[in-house]
Amino acid sequence: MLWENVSASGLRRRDDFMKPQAGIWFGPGMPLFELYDKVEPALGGGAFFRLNTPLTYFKTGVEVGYQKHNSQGVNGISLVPIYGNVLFLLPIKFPMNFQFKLGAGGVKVYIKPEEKQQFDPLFMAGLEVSFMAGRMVNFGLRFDYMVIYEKHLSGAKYNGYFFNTGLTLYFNL
Amino acid sequence: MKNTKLLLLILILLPLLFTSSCDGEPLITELVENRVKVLLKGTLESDESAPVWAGGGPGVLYLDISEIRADGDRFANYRLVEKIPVNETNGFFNGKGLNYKSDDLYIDSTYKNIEVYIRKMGFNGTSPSSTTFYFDDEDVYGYDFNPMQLRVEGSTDTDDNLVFPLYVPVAGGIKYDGEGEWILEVRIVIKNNIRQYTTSGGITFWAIADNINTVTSSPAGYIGGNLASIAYAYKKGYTGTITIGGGSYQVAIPAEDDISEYVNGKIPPYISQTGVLENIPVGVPMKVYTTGSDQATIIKSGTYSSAGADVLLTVPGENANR
Repeated sequence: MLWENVSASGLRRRDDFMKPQAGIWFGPGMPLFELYDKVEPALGGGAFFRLNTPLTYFKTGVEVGYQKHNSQGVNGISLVPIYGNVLFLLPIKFPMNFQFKLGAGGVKVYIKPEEKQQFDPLFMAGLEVSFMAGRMVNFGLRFDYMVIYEKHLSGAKYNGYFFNTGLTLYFNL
Repeated sequence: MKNTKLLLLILILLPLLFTSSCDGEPLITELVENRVKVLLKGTLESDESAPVWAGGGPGVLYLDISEIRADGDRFANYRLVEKIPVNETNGFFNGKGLNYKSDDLYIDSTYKNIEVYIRKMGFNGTSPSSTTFYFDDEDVYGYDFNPMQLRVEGSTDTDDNLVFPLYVPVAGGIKYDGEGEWILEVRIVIKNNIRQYTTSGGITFWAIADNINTVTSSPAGYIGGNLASIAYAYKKGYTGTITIGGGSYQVAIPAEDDISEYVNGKIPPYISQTGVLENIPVGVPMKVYTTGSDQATIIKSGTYSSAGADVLLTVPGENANR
């Protein structure tokens, strides 16, 4: 019985996790590649809301976040990602839930010292590992890889890549 | 179902987020790449017309700069540690300029001063020749005279460090517009402007000649420490030239400045020996001068004679004759 936990407690746990969820997270975000030389890692955070779909192991959700990366010098970048995602809960028998997610949306980007800002397309992929802490609450860790897509703009040579990790609190509503 | 409606709403909203961002500026590229390039020069001349090093001096300049700021903005927070040969092979002394890593400035800010944080500066060729100092994680033969650059003009206060930072005035200021490619030249007159001093401990070393005070061998170890320095900023492709006849040196300064700020070597102007002054920014009125003096006189007590009416270049690539 690898795929389904049919014990009463297991079913209840999974049922609770299958409820609509709201949550918050915070943790370090790291700029990757070219941006790594320009700005420093910093704490970020965000909130999300998720709903079940007619497909048992799939959820859909919306997320909003904020992270601001400064440097020793004048460079800086602030991000406000707003995106939707689809989550897949790995159907295995285990005390922890593993969810893979893919998302897309937009991100408000602000850069220093140019002091310019705009809305860019955003793609993300990630993994969340979580466990129950009572019927209402789950704790978890999340790992998100974000792509700020700018290469479609004339004159652009780079996209922005970030890797965020975070502690997550889920509320099963 | 209520949930299904919400789900539908989310699926409809997603594409909207996308379509809202189809045109714009490449901000990530703007952040990664630099528009402002910093060039360090160790010559009096603002171009490549500097004469070769006079013989008999040291063979290498040890230069350690921790960072460069513009009116306090940390736009070049990068360290430069360089052993610069005392000849014409390095951009620092041949007029081409030595690249200093930097980021960009704030757009539409006007910067009046550049601060160069010099950590160490020393020449080899000491006596006794076994004298060493710690540079770039090793002991090198030479003498670091930075700790002696402590006094301002006419002062005996030894607490004022002249080189950490060295305040470099920007002639005409930097009026950065965030467009194109900008060059910021920071010039400190070192080439053919050095002399020997002796410490109270009997070490004879080479250092930069003070450009303001007359420094005698007494008190031992006193080197003055004032450096003649200037910075210029211009946008690449938005400059022209000024051709001036006569004199051993041809000189230009922004018309808003007074030439008295430049005489006696306080700060070096745009200055060349070729008769053609390069990299003159378009749209900035310039006063033009000549002088018949040599470098040593210019630095110590130079005066300039007017070479005609002010010049205002209006088109990139333009040359004005005077």
